[in-house]
Amino acid sequence: MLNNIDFEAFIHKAAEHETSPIIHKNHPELSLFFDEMTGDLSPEVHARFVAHLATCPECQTQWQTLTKTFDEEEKTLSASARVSSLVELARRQTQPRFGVRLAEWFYSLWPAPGIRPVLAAAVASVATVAITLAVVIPILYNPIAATSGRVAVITSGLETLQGQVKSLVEGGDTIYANFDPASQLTLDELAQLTGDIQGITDSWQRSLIIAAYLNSHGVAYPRDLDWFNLSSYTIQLEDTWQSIARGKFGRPDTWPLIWLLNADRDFPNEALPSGETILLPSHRP
Amino acid sequence: MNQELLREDRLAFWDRLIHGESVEFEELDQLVTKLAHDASDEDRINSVLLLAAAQIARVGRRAMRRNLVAALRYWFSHVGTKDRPSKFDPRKIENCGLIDIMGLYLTWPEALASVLAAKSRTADYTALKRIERCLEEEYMKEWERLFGSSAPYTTTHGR
Repeated sequence: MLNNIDFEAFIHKAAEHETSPIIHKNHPELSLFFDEMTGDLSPEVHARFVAHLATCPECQTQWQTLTKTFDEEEKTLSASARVSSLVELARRQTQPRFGVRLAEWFYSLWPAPGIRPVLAAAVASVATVAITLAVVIPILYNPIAATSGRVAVITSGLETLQGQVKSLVEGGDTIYANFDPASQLTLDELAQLTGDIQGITDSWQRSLIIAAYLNSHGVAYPRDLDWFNLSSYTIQLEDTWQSIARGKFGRPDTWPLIWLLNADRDFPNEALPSGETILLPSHRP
Repeated sequence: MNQELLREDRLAFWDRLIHGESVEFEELDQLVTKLAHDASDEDRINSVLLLAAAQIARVGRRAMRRNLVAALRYWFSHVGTKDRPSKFDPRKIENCGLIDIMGLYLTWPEALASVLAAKSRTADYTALKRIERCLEEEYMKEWERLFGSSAPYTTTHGR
């Protein structure tokens, strides 16, 4: 059977026979694979493990996958935890300090030794002027700017206080704890709100948008206005938007909101047609 | 089943030889005992081949023992399948075993490089022929010793 074949082929045939697959009923647990990798298996268990793997293609695949993963992981870890070699450390030690290297670089720009002092003096002069500009000027001007800022804040505070006192004397609005005139709508905010409302014909929807806008901007209009419950108002002779806002709510500055609420009514700003009906936010009880 | 167990026993010994360890005759006694009973021709041939390799690993000269390890790595690397690394370095299999080399399809220089010191690595193809011849002689001897007849194998080497 085996006669007259080359011995090398004979050996190859033997190796093939030795490792030909066996249908195994049981396979080693995963922990054994890890123990084999770390060399923690006893000689007897290692021998069984090797014999099994050599004849089990399924476990061979698993072994190859695990070893490949571990190799890649090891490479990643060793790359991230790389310690400087002795050569690198030695090289760092022998390198001149940064200041020395900077001076060497500076001198290397002008190889002629006779010119160096002149150029050095020129560079020093330029540096002095630059430092003067960068340091002295801000020192001179900053206090003025800071004082101006503080004066502006105090002025604003005084204006606020005057407004509140005036309001109290006139017996107008109740000043709420969080009331801040500065939080009233600016012209830009009004323009934005107008843009949001444009095209909406339903007064109810417009009132919702106004209420939501005031809430989201923290605008402290009189709290007793309920934008979710609208009431109708018949325009009287010589009524204007401002006079209605003053008369109904005691706040003439709320007129733009009333005007926005009735934006579908194309009324002139100054002379409103008497007898027509508009919508107003109702008073909270 | 017995044949499979016998084969697994042998594989454990092959693994040790591939690692470069020696296997004592006493350890192979059980294998020889099993061989005397109901073993197939292939089991007998491969078991005697193992005994011959173990004999060289035990009593052979240093160069021959080294060549034996290289040859076993070479032969067993040509069975099975494995993803061979694109940049394969034979030095990484210096301490490898059976499952590490299966499917690597080593060339003889690679197999030899795995057992040689870096400075003495040469592609000595005659080393493979020498270890083949030596193993063949041991195989013949062991067969005759165990079974009292000539091995069921003749070479084309003209002997």
